[in-house]
Amino acid sequence: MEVRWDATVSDNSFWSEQGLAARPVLEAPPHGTVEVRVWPFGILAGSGVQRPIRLGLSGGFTLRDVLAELKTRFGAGFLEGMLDEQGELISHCRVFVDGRMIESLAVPVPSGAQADVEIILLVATEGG
Amino acid sequence: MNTATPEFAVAADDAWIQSSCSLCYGSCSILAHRVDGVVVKIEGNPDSVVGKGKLCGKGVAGIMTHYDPNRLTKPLRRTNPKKGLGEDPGWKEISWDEALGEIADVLRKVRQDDPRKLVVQRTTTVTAGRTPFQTFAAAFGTPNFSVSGGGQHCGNGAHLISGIMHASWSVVPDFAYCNYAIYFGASKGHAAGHASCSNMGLAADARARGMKMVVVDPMANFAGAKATEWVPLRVGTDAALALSMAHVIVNELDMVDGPYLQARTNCPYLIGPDKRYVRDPESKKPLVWDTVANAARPFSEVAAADMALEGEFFANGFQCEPAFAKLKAHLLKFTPEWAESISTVPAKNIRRLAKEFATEARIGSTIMVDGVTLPYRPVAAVAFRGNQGHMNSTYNFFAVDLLNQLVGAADVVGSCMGFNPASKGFPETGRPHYVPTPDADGLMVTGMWMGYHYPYPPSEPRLPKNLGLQDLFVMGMTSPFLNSIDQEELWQTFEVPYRPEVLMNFGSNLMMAIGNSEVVAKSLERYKFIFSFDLFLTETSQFADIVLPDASYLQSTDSRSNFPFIFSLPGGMGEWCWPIRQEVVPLDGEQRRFAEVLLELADRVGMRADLNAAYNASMNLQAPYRLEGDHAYTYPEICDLELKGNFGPQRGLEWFKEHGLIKWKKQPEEVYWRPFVDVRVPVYWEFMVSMWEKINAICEPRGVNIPQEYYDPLPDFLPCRSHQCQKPGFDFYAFYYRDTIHTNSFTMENPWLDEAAELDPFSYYVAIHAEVGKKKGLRDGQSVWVESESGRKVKGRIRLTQAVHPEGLGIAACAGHWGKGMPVAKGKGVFFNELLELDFAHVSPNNLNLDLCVKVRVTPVEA
Ligand code: SF4
Repeated sequence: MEVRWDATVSDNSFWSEQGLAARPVLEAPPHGTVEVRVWPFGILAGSGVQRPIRLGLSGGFTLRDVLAELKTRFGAGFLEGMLDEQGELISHCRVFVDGRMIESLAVPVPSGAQADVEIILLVATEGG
Repeated sequence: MNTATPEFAVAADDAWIQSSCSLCYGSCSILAHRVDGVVVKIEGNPDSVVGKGKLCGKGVAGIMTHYDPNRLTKPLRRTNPKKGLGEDPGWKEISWDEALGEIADVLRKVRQDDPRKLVVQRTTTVTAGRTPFQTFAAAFGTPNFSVSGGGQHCGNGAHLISGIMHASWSVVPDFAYCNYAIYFGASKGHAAGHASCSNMGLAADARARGMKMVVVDPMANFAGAKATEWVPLRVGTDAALALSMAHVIVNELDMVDGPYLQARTNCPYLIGPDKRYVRDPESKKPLVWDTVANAARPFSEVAAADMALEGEFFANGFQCEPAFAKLKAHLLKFTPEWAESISTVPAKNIRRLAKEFATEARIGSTIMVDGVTLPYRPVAAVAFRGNQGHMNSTYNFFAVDLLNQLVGAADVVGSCMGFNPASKGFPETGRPHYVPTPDADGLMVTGMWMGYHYPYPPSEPRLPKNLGLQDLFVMGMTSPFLNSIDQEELWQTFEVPYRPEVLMNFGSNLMMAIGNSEVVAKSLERYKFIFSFDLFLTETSQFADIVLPDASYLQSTDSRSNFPFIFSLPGGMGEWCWPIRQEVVPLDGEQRRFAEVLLELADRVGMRADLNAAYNASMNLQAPYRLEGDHAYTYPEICDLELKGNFGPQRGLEWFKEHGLIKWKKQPEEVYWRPFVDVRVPVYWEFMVSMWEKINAICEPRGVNIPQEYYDPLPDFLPCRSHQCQKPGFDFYAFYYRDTIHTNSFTMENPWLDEAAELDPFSYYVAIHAEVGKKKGLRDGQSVWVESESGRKVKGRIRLTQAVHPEGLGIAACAGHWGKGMPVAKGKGVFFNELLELDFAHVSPNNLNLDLCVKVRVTPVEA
């Protein structure tokens, strides 16, 4: 194999998704109400809310919808530090849906009668 | 005192235990020989990639740190409420229950009030401290996390820019293939530092193979002494030299790697009159000029080879030029003659060095590695602590790396490379898997980082919520404002809504590691409560309310003694390697392991569920190896889950204790990942334009001036305050350098290392140029005062040498202890940091790096 600077990477399978260990595939949620239990940890837990926060969401919904519902209930301040100016997750905010780490808010919250969403802000800076 | 332990004192006890050193953050793999419960020898583990069977003097001498009779063995509580320099704390021994009870009460209250009032501070020396302390901070809910030791003085330039340009914590030459390395204030492979012992072997082999090594440094010490050529320069002027070399390469020689710049940098992106990208109105993607279509098109729709690097164009209603054209014009002012006047390096040498570098890069060549034909650029320009410890920290490092980028010598065979930026993971599990990815502008986002906010893209500047002000100065990593004289003024100016009340310290000796002791002492006095995990009573633990006796590395277990791979695993081909640390001998007295103590504290504070969640996130634990609910796991149980999650259910902690480590082969696509991953690096830092505007919009109304020249998209030479000092008699630029015999201020207490340092001609001395010294009537060994412009002074003994720039004054390490708790260290060497001012005026307004060079005068003590 010869690799040149101007080669495209479209035919390069080494770093493609197939090369990864199986990533969890999240199924689209069913139509109907799902109880979403939100578990804020660390500084997010300090907002005086009872853990878990129980939300009832219906129809196909994503993590973005879960956060929108949290904002409606607790105000924009609740999401402070989680999202960037574009409304996307900042890199040191980690979200797990049913124990699986999620990198995008567009991810559908999986099917089932109940879903657990855990959120924590990790330490942003480190030197050394 | 740590003594032989009856548990192991049986006749049959004669064992070699595989573990990891912790005398510095290199975390080399060791074999500890234990006989009858006593460690009698420490050697390198030849089976490991980390250290490759070699140890430095510190690693061998670790046994003396472990068995130091001055080690703490019981928790201590101060009885004297008054804190300050010279105050005796009046230590009283207390039980762990009492100590942790009091600490937990304080933590519980402050967490309820405002968790941000807790500052978590850790030393860099113990790599294994990173995850437990970061995780505790996240679970507690404080963003105020700081790293001391070397970190405070090096991270903000070197690491940030290594992250932006090479997706890793540090850079090294690809020793196995590099033919020409130029070091700017760096000693990679020749002394301390990341992957220290591994790199020493690799660098020695490279030099024996014939790699030419040019060392640009005010002092010829560890790297310079082994170099093919030493280039002495005026302290802090590295950017002037590097930019001038870049000018010669671009404008005089025209020897750049065009295809690389087109395909893997933002050089073709069109820049408008406002210094920003010209963007496609619909997709918002940066535009390039398509030389085939003769039109401006989004970068993602044009073949790299068709992207213009030069020319003036009209796009989107703007007159614009490719970023490379901007760079080319920008470099014109950095002529070798100009650079000579700044750096003192003769113009003809600058031209020669630039030509050698560009020629040796063999632009356009390829080489086959393990059956894969790859770009071959066997040159590397490498910078580290020396060049970036200045006001101009960002640009010093950026300017040096520009040399690599211009000739395409970035993360390909023989070039300047980050430490392991891309890993496909252990073949059976695919973990840990990370690889840089492009952002919407096509620019590289690292796949792995030490903190959890990546170096690029930067955050949006905002009114700071953290005490270090990194929310506002978003290029900053560690911050001097946790200890500066003007911290309160800054917090008021920027409306920080709370103040620090509690300091949790792990092993940092802040009193010595940051700046002058008077100012640091004041910052420590203002805490209502300090507790500190320590091996010894340091100058900083004297300010603590409670001191906890920590276990040594020979008494500890950790699943990630060396992780992550971007930190201290050697780069280049070879093997991935994940070693662990394990107990060689048990605890002595009432010493306890910090990681276990943190778990107990979490239980006492009532935040175990938060801590478990934080561990799941920071270690990326996936089912069935996640921590559940508020279950009280022990630290070995957490280590076991992490190891099984990464290496399969059969390879938990017990497996690792038996085998010490796991290795697997690196593939060329991982090591030389750049051609395989469609990311570009920014040679033109467009993001600085809006960053300055946003920072300035916050600072200007509050009367804080942020000079725009620190936020230009292209690097420049910006002088330090020392360069502007006109005071008569102040004619030396004082700097300190990391001594290979010592780790920060920690190892001065080790008697073997102290003896070695006493025998070393430089370790405990003040080095100045022999001719200059003689002209001033100074003699070798004479005691002198070294005094800063502001009147701060330290005492030292003169070492006259040819190996320092005539204007330079070099001081080794972080010596000069004065506390009683480390009696071997007390009074040894020179406390350079005492000369450093700690205020906004001495900090880079770009990345918060402290200015580490000081204009000084030298006077004999007897005068
Ligand atoms: S380089 Fe650091 S980790 Fe390696 S042996 Fe020396 S002190 Fe130990």
